[in-house]
Amino acid sequence: MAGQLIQVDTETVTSAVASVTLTGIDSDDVYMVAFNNVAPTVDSRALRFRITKSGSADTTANYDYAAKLFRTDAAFNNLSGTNLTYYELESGVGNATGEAFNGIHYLFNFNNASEYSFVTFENAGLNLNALFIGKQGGFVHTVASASDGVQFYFSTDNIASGTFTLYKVV
Amino acid sequence: MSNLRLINETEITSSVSSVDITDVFSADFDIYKIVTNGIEDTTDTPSLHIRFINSSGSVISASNYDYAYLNMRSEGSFAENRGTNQSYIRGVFSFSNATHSQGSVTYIFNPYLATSYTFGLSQFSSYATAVRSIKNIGVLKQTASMTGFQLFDIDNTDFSEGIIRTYGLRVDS
Amino acid sequence: MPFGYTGQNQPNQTVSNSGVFSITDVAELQSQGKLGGSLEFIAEQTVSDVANLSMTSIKENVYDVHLLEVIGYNPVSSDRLGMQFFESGTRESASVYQYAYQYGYYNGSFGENKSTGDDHIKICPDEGTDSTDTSSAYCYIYNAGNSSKYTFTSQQLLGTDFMRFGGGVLPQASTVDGIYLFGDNTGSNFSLTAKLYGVKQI
Repeated sequence: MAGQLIQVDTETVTSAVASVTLTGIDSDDVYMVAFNNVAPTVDSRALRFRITKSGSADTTANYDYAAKLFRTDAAFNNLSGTNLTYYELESGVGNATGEAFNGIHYLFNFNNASEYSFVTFENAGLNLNALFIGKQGGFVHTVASASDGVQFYFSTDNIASGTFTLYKVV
Repeated sequence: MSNLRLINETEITSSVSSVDITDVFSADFDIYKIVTNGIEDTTDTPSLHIRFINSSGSVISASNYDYAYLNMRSEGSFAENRGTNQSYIRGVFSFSNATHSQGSVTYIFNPYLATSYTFGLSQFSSYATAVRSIKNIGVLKQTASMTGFQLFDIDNTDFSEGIIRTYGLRVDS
Repeated sequence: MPFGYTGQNQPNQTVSNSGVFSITDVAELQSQGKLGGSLEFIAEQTVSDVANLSMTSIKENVYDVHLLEVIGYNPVSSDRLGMQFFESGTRESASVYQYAYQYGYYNGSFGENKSTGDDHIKICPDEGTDSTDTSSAYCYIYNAGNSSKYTFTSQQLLGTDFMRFGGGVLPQASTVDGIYLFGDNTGSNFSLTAKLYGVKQI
């Protein structure tokens, strides 16, 4: 049947892991990553994101991003950065009740070997202070080569919970 | 088989100030997508917000909602709006759309999980005297199972047409 | 209850069913909108070095909501991608579109794009001429086929220098039956892939 959202890869964390890697991007379609209930094993850890090349996370300083940080306690923040080694979804995710992170990313041009890889993101969750926040924006990985997946991890320690799924939009 | 599954379609055909969409959240899915379009009225200017409905069928109106949104106005300055410990999530589906309606896409996370809060991400465009586009985040801070949601106008302004579709995002283990 | 799978050796699912559908089952489920994808492919175009692109069979009589993906917009000379709509076959090119977007540059500049009277809705950000200067976007389009309603968009887009999110409208009660993409600043030729889906309804 034409016109579907097709699951490509998924991982549900039930015991602590250092990272979650979703791969399988092998076509020029747009892909979507959905994640929910993500929390660290240790309170106040930064949730980060990288793209993968041949299954391995690219750690080179080629991530540029811009985001609007929506806040419930103060004025929104404009956030940006260039030539980073990762994209940071949130700087301090907590692990108390309710302090989890969720989001939707759309992936463009990943399979194209001569173009950059692009990601739009929208996410929301409670940080370590039970403050409800969320980022809306996008980033580009400024390496003209094919990417085949994504990786989530915390700055230190492990992922305690979360379901991460990669879909293809066909 | 697609992993995006249509669960419910509700069409508004008479004048109401709220609509309850019940029994749409279940253990089958963790993430849902709500798509609305065409919600309007011939005389009123509804602004439509969301509350959740728990597994007992009660609309949650306790002061356990937080939200933040960016109101992007084509005719004026953009405005930030936020609220904590409110009785609903404001600005999810439309603002003051009269006869020219709206369209929205909302993702809801973890509503049925009794050990998790219920989170939402929303974007919509609606028209009052000019177009407004809103990006919104919201949360219900209750560790309880939600099985549905309510669209409503806090001022009891009516709306008389429109469509609300709820989809589940399937994860195959 | 959403229906699941056919055949054998299917992934685990929470709700059990027999796993095999009869022809009658398929027909009945299909009529209820419970069989098949909830995102339905309508059309795709991949173009190279063109001045514009039109999609004129958008099934606006079938779908209330469309999803447009634009992938890898790359202009021949510096430009950005805009969208106009066809109304009953006639392209609306007057300065009647409205929009409001938040933009953010990766190098730190943020601001607002807004208009109550422009000749397009923004789709892809400004790009240069290198082969790596591309941008992409997703855009929901609401109420296109409803002649008594305005046609709205909400979208998110990003390129090599900045991202943008927001939405727009063609504030005319009309039937929108086509989409037109073009370079809205310098009119440069461009390359891209555009895909259009209908968001499923019963």
